[in-house]
This record gives sequence, structure tokens and C-alpha cells, in this order.
Amino acid sequence: MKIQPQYIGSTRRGLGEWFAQRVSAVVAAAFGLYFLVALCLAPPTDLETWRAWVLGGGMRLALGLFFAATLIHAWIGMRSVFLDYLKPMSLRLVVSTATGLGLAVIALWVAALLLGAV
Amino acid sequence: MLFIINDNAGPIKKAFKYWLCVDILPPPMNAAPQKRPVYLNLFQIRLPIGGMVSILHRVTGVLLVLALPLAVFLLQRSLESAAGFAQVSAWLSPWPVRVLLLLLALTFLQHLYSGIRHLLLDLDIGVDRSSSRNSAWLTLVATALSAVALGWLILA
Repeated sequence: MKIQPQYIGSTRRGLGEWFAQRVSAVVAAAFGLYFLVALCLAPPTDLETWRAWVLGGGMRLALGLFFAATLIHAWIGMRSVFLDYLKPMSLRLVVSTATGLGLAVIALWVAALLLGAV
Repeated sequence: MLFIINDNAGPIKKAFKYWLCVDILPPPMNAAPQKRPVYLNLFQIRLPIGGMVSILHRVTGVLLVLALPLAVFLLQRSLESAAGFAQVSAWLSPWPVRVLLLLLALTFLQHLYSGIRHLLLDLDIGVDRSSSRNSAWLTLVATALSAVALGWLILA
């Protein structure tokens, strides 16, 4: 039987997502591990040192990259989970739209925080 | 069928197609309707350890996404003022909260370890059966060892 490619669903698509998932994983893993170890070994004791560390120039950029990578990674991952387990199209539409909006809100929130608006 | 999406569709239909990950096409005139076998009852499949770790990777991933807004909230509050910093410190100091923090850190580390395993598998490293089973167990051992080390750091 001849199978028409566009009839199989997501075949031939998703390579970009696959790659973005791996690149964002490496970025988020490296920074996440650094942040976790640094927090555990030297927990911040007062506001001044905490601000100086987290909002220092290089750290601000690194946090921005970390959150960008994490949000991209979270979106692709959640979408994969929804595509596997949410079969009714209406439910999939509602849940993935809500998740996308939620992640977008977090992105704006982090951007405002790191750019000093909040 | 409400409408037809094909590769020549406009941007809005393309976006819809991406969002739902479906092709909405009328069935081809000459093809029999496809019935591909689906057998995904998790209670009847006996998963190998690699499959268990893969599912654990998904579960911890979803948990981390749920924790993300909370983490951003705590970060913002702790940075905004001395009062905010003191408040976050007070929230995070009781031991039951410390246990939750420890569990969150372990959730991250489990996801990290199984993620590294998946990246290595993508690079064709450790694909054969015995080494992929060993590496699956190794992620669990690493998480357990991390639990001991972090428990000592966070709870002590």
C-alpha cells in the first residue's frame, strides 16, 4: 500500500525542534548545575552580596540565556508530552495554548526582572 | 472535514497545523483508511529499565516546568528589597520547606542525569543493550548519591 507522506502525521517534521531541544538542554544543564552548586556551597546571607552576584553583568546575561533555553526546552518538552497523551484535539488545543501563554508570561516576567523593570 | 491543510497552506493554517501537530486532509480517494496497530497500555507493557528512566525523565520535566513560576517568583522577591530578601529567607528556612527544596533539586538532577544519557545515546554512545541498561541504572545511582550529598548540604 502506498502511504502518502502528509497523511502520517508529524513525519518529516520536528527536526528543528529536536535540535533546539538538545542545544537548549546543554545551555540549561550547564548553568543550572553551576547555579545549584554555587547556591548550595555558598548560600547568600544578605541582600547586597546576593544582588551583586545575581545581577552582576555577566551573571545577568547568563541568567537571561538560561531562562531563554529553559523556556524553549520546556515548550518543546511539554508539547511532546501533550502530543503523546492528549488525544482529543480540543483538549490538546486548550492545554497547549494555555501552556504556551503561561511560558510566554514567564518569559516576559524574567525579561522585566533582568532588565530592571520589576 | 472543516478545512484542508496541505503544504501550500497559508501561514495561519500552517500555525494551526504546528500547534496541533496534525494534518487535516480529506482521505485520499484511492487509499484504504489506515489502521495502524496501537498498543500502549502501560500496565500491560513490562518496560525495560531504559524505558522507566525515560518516563521518569518526562515526569521530572513536567514537575520542573510547574516549579518554574515559583522559582521566578522567589528570585524576584529575594532581589527586590531587604524586606523581600528576609521574607524569602524566612520562607525557605523551616525544615519541611528544606525537604521540598531538596526534592526540587533532586528532580532537576534526575532530569539532568537522564538527559545526559539521552544526549549520549543521540551521539551513538552506549546504544547496545547492556551498556544502555547500565547507564539507565547509573542515572538512578547518581540521583541517589546526589540525594545523600545534597541532603547533607541542604538539611544540615
